[in-house]
Amino acid sequence: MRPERAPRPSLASVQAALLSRITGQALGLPALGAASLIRSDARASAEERLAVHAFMYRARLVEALESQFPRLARLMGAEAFADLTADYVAVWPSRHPSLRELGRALPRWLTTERTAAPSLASLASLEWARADLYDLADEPVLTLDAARAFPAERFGELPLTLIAAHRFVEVDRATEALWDALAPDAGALPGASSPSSAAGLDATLLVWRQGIAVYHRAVDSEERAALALVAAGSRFGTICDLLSAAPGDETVAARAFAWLSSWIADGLLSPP
Amino acid sequence: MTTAGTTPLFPNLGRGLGLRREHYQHVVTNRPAVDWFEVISENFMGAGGNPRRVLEAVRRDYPVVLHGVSLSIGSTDPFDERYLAELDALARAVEPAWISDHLCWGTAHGINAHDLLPLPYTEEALAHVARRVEMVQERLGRRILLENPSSYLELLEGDMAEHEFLAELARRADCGILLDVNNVFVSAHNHGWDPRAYLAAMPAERVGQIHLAGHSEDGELLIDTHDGYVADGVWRLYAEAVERFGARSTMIEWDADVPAFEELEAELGRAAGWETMALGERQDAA
Repeated sequence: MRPERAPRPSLASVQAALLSRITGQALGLPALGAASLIRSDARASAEERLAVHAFMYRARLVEALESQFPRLARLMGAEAFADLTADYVAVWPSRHPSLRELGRALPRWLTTERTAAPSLASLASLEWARADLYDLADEPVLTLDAARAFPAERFGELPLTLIAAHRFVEVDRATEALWDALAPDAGALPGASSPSSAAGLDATLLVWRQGIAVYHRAVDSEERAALALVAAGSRFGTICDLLSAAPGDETVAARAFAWLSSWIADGLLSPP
Repeated sequence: MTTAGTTPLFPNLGRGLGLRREHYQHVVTNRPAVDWFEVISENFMGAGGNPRRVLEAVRRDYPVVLHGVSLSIGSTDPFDERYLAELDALARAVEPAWISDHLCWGTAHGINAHDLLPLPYTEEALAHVARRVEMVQERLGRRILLENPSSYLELLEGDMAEHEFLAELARRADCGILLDVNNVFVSAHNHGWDPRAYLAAMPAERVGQIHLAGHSEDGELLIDTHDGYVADGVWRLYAEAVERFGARSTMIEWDADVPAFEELEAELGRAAGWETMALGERQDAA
């Protein structure tokens, strides 16, 4: 009697088994040897052939995250950054067709998985915000001429709205300096855990895109509150009212106009 | 050897290059004498910013084709509808000469390996992929091209050779073929295939585009690294492809250690020389 041939595995099961071996994701499958999936020959064994793809998988993800977090990678060094990538993608494998999305969860993951070096999470938050704005839709901005054309007697009614291409990032206060220190043309690298390791998220950075360039700068709590109003859709008079909450302040109008002119110069406001 | 009497389904755009970030400024500013550009679809799916500005500027001066790496046409996972919508939107904005991707799969259980993994060349897979190609073509309202992948492994399960699978898929799904001659060379070396049998199996009218690229050695295997000059053996195989199919839109892929644009133009000049010689051979044989 001839032994019965094992039924051919389905396309779906072959793909799941191979992807599991390449990515290291269990996928709820029993571990399968490469030889049960892949042809061997004199040129290379099944394991060696599988290793080519496993190596390329790791290298591709490291390269993608390095392009999204170049200063974090520089701060950590190549080996530590590759280890970090492996740990991260084990928990957050790519589930999107584009590698552009790979780093989205990294800042949050760092806050829980690298607690000994909180500066890493802050730096990653800033880099991700910058990367995330890179290719958002272009949008028109409020110009100085358009603002000036608004009737002076009704200027308090000037509608103010932030462009979509902005983010507020809560970071520890050393992050901005750390980012500068990690510029490609900067000198010696700072240590990964040296800056204000216990400071907490005590600063806010505004990140935005103007044209094709992405910028960031620190905002104090007063301007942060004003920008929160603008982000929700506000009017110039409301911003003045916010400043007027400080009794006896004679400089309200001057400060409100200073903010407005800087927001316009930075291309932060949408046209009415 | 020639397959005369077949009318190509895709126009011959001439000789093109992959548009890479390192050359954005040069191309937009100097408008070099290249017939057309291929862009990686996923790099331009964002709605704005510098990539889209560059693409719009390039498109004003050149024909453009979209080449994707993430369609995962052979996967048993459902299509990512967001991806198809973004690809469709990009195609409407760019009006490419055509859209291509790879005969491969890259996802399972929702996880993306971002790799161009080979299929088992079975009847089941053929029916599955043909159905998916038809779905994509209906979604995009156009015939797509699929590229033969370079591969480093062959799955045990299989009813046919890759070239038989690809040729039958193209006929059954009524799609085109992007023939990557370097990939034929690399896979043939890695698996002991006959590269000429591969070319001979391709339905000539469906071969709409040809890729050329450099590869590297890794032990006994060749790796499709796109980081150097086209190898001599690949040039010779390219000439055989031209002799067999006639002139086809041909481009050089160079994605790592990207050289100065002039180097790419020189490589494209070599392609022109091989093409001219092969077309002469083809004419003699006719």
